[in-house]
Amino acid sequence: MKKLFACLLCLFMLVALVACVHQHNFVDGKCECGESDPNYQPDDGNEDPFENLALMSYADYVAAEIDDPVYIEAYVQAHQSWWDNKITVYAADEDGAYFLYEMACTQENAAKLTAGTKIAVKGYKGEWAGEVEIMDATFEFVEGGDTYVAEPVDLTDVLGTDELIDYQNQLAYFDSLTVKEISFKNEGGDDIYVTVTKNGHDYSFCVEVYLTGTDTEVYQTVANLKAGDTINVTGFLYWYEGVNTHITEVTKVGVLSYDEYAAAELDSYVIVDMYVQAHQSWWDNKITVYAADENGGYYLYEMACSEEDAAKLTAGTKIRVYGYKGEWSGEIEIMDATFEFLEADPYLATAKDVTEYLGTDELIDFQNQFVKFSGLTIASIEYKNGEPGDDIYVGVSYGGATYSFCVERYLTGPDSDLYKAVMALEVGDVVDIEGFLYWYEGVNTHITSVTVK
Amino acid sequence: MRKIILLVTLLLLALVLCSCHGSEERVAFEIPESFDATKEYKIVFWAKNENNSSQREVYNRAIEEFEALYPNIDVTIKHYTNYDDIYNDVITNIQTGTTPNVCITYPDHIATYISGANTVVPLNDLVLDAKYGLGGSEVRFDAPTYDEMVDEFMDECYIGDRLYALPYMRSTEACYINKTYVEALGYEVPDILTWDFIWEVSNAALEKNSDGTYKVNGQSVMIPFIYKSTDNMMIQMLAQQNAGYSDATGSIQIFNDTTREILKTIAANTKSGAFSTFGIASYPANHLNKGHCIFAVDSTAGSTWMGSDAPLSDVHHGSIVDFETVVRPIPQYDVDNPKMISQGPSLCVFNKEDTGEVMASWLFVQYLLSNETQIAYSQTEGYLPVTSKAQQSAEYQDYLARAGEDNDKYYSIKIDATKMLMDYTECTFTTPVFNGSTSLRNAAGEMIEDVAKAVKRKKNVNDKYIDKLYDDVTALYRLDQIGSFDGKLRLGELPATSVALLCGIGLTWVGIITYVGVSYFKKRRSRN
Repeated sequence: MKKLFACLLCLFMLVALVACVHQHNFVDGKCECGESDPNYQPDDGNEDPFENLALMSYADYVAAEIDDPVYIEAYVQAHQSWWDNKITVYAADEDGAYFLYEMACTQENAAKLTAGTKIAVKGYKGEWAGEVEIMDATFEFVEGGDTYVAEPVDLTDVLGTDELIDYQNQLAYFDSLTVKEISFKNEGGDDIYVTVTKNGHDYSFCVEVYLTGTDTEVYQTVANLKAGDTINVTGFLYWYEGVNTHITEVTKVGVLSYDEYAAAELDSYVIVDMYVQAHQSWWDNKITVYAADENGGYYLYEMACSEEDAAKLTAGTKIRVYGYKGEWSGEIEIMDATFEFLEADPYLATAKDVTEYLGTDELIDFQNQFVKFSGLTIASIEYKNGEPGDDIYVGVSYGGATYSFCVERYLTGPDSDLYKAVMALEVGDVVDIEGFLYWYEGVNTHITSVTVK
Repeated sequence: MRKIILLVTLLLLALVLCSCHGSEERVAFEIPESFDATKEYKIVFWAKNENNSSQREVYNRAIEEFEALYPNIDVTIKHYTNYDDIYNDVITNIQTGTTPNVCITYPDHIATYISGANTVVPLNDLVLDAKYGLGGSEVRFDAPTYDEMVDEFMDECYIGDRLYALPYMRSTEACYINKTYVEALGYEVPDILTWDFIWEVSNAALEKNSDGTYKVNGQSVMIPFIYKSTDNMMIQMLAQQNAGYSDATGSIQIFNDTTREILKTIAANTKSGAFSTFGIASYPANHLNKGHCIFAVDSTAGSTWMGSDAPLSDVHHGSIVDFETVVRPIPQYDVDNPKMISQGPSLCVFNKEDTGEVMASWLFVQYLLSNETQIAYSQTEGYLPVTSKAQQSAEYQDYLARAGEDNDKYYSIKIDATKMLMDYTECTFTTPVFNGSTSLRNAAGEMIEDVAKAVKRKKNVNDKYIDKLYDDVTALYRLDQIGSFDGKLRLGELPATSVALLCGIGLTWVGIITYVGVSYFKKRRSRN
């Protein structure tokens, strides 16, 4: 019995050895051993679909029918991890974007698919659950090609509209989304599904683990998000039964403290809670507000506001402001802002005496705050229009230097006590002044009270 | 029955009378046989100045001199520092019938004012009147004749075939150039700038030192090209390329491919840091004088703020750098066919019940066109007098010849800017005027401002973005609600009182006919 087993084993080993040294000789995709050629494409009498296919523009590509062969040149923007001689690539040119699904690629070439690299791609236009992609693709590097990395497109306003799909596969940016739910595809370590809301509608975004692995900052940030968080999102506008952005970057947008606001870059989007201190007159659904919190002052230039809401912007009212940090002739302000009312006890700043800082570089640190100056001498009084009714330019001198302050008529108009008091001032009067530390090519306090000593 | 019908008829008549309440339409102005120089008139003039005390002084002096010539006319002036405030106040006062007698205006604004019938006096007959017209026999001062008004400037004041205003001063836009920096970058300033030149030099100016400062100025700030009025920028860029903006019938043509290309160019140059706007960066003059800017485009009426030695400045003296300033026409696409906008204040006369009051206003308007006022006011800024009489006068020629004698009245940049407009008067143009043209102008500027802001906020300005921008400004400025202007005024929906009036008239007739009919049948019955 043992001998019989030994003989059988030897026979099997012999067969195995023969099989190992066998070189496939494929004829019509078949080897005599019965093995099939994985790369075999039967000659069905048709021409090679790519043989005479001209290079397509993005518009040509968009116009192509599903399942048509397509031939494009594009620039790699990012890719998912290489696997089994395939790679999924997010690509773009200046006109649009492409999703190259499981494109044939050696591991060696995958390493060369860095962002910006120009490649020529041949494949078939496909569609899967709404996602338009290039399938069964092959590619070549474009020798001597330039590079291009697309900037994110701000699609916040397009979210929820039929236009959104026109940006499919592009690198998109969405502003101020609210996190509704965070869930994992499996346990932690797999894709993260992020449900966000904007303007009352829910959208499903995704952290695709093959694009942004688990060790990345974006993965960790998203994993730790909580319902109610506000986030700015950048990602590729993938589609799966609707928008399903593959997130590449996320910024948690908290309400900024004054210090964070002060440190924020110009033109950045900011959200700040603050208290109204005063405002200029409402006009054309806009209002300019002087605001403050315990740590600093804010100037909200022409903030969107209904006339009804303007009436509620009384001194001390707490509001949350959404807008862009801007600068105009030295004045730091929040531009293109909107706001909402917050429930809170009112806060009114007390005037901070900054007389000692006049003429120093430190004065600007108090910009937009409610301040007071003591012992200033009136150097000049000039009406903007040459007569009462418009702004009054008040020249004040202190420590041998003269500064330009202002009675801003939209803040304290000709009927106000302040306007009348300033009209009555004479050159040489020594005064104490309170006001908001506005800036125009230097200090230009908007005066709210004046007291002759 | 007769009593009931009578009552109903009376009620309806009462309704008709009630609906007449509130109608304040004035009758059309007709030139009186003579102007009563013994009757006292009080007229109000709303003027605009560039926050420039010398302009106010010219107005005040003109009023003083005019009142000396016409002791029966008392002129009260109200000063404004921007056109929009005048426009808004006029609109408000039209509703209450309390417009001024004369105001500084733009033809775009008049197109709105004349939405109400007979609000603004057409001047066609007045200017040609033998006694009281321009240079007329009964005018007590040396006024210009019609032929002495500059044709191009007069043409701008017609809406349809009606002359609703007279030009007061004219300006255009100029490019104020830091020649020192241009040459430091290896370029020469050509006589006529091209847009390509502007973009090329502006981008070249962005080269930095290793410490992050800009090579050309050694400072941390450099915004090479700043445009003050972005609505003018868009309008002129389109006109220079013969692209659509609007036509005289009020058809909106601005949303075209040329506009799209302009916006993309602006986006690209904003992104590189080569370009910014007044709305984003503040006054071009401030940046030019601080050495932060190389090409500053602003009105010739802002020339006294431009340059190291500018007589007017908002900038701290210590921040101003020394450089040579030169003035050129705005950049062009076709240097052989330059085009630039004509702008500047005009004067319109509001209609009043008392024709004598209107005549007093008209005489005052003429005085503002006299050499005394024209030359004096034009010297306050880079303005050009609107009469050939003033332009060719020895006094004015002497003024031009003395450019550079001082940095005040004879400030060289101001006079260079004025001369530039004189040289290119035939190349100026204006945009068609219609009810809504102000909105279109605002939309033109808004698109540039919006694109520049968007780029700074890292948005991608592509075709999709521009498509949406077109939609947004159309909605914001209600451009889709602007009707064509076919020479007749569109008055909109009938007011409720008018509807009541018409209904009342109809019902009255029904009542009358019913009454007559009933009476007729009664008579017939009684005869039978």
